[in-house]
Amino acid sequence: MQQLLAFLYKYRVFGFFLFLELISTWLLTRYNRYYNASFFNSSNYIVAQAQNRRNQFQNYLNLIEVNDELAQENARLRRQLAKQLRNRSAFDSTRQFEYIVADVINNDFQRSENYLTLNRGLNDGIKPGMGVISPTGVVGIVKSASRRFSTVTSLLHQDLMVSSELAPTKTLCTTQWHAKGPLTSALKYIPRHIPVKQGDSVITSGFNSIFPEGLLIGRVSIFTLSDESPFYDAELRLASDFTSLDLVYVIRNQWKLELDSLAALND
Amino acid sequence: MIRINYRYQVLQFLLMVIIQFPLLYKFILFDTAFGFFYIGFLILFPYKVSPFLQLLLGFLVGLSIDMFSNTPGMHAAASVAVMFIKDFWLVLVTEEPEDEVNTSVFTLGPIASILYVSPLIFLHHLIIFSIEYGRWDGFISVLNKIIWSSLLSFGSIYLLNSLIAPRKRRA
Repeated sequence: MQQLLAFLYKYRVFGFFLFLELISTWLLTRYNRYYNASFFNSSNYIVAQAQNRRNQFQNYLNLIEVNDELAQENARLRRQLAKQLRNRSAFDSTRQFEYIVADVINNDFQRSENYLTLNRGLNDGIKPGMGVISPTGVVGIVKSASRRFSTVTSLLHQDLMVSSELAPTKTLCTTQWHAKGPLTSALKYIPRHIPVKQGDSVITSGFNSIFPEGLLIGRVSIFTLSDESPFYDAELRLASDFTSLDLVYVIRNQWKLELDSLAALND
Repeated sequence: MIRINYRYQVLQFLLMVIIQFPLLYKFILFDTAFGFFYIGFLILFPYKVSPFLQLLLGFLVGLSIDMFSNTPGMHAAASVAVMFIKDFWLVLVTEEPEDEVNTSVFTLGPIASILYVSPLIFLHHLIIFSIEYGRWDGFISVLNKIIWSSLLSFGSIYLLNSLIAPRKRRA
């Protein structure tokens, strides 16, 4: 016993070192996977406030581009509205989704796991698991939310998979980032019998309750088919410009609870 | 007798850690070199201070950086590792400083500061980038990032430190 105590005393610094490293490992492997773990990340109030300040300062520098982008989106929406008014008989599914506008106050795109911080949180109706889109395409999924801020797992994150569809043939596939720059992403599981062309648009499939069907993710840029592989080896050029995200929309699916509980019955 | 220059430490903390928060993953050159100069505050923290205090400080600074980068535990693990070996390493690469506990680029001198600071930065960056990348295929490109990032971090730490460190007093 005496010796054991002496041993522990002798290596107490090393023990403390191991203890801290164990906490770090626990935080890294477990805590970060928790649903809505919002304290030790950027939805934390103080951290988000600091990022907000920096963003406010930075925003003055690219007002012109933002203006331009909004004008373009406006034009696109007008066209869409005109089209919708023309064929009113189509099934109206717009009520299913609601859009919450949010500012991006922090945006990473050069790491191998990227996150965004938004200036809207639980108070504005944002919940973990909601989809996020930009005026031009899909952006990511909300990871955690505090009362006034939320953290979003960007599409530029190696663990995020988005159920997608090759528009011309309606082939189901998966978009998962390959960590090779913020402009492109890998496109997986396109079966080899499907004809693929460069520039084919890739859209969300609507097979989960996160994104509505038909949102643009990107366009096929490179594809190869090796002799032994059952799937294409493809890349797509992302529709959202992740290097200059500014305004995004968080999608609230009003039917999510119903859809998910129905799906859970099958398990 | 330990005499810590508190004014120098506070300045160092403000300039390296507080400035790092808004610049985290924003201070990037050519998409490959990521500057993490906050580690300079930890590496140049006074020598011979209680190891428990040093480890705890490394953990807290690392964790606060983690909160900004959405990786709870990653910077903390790397910083604690650096704090653990820093005193051994200082004794190993330089002759033991007898009366001086405040380390800076002036007290160490240029050669010793390169020998002392840069391997610790490399270790820190190695841990961070390998945890974040999380797999072994294509690790060469990550190694490239680690090396360039270490150079950038070293450069900025050397610069910031030489701005605020008290000049060596000669008797």
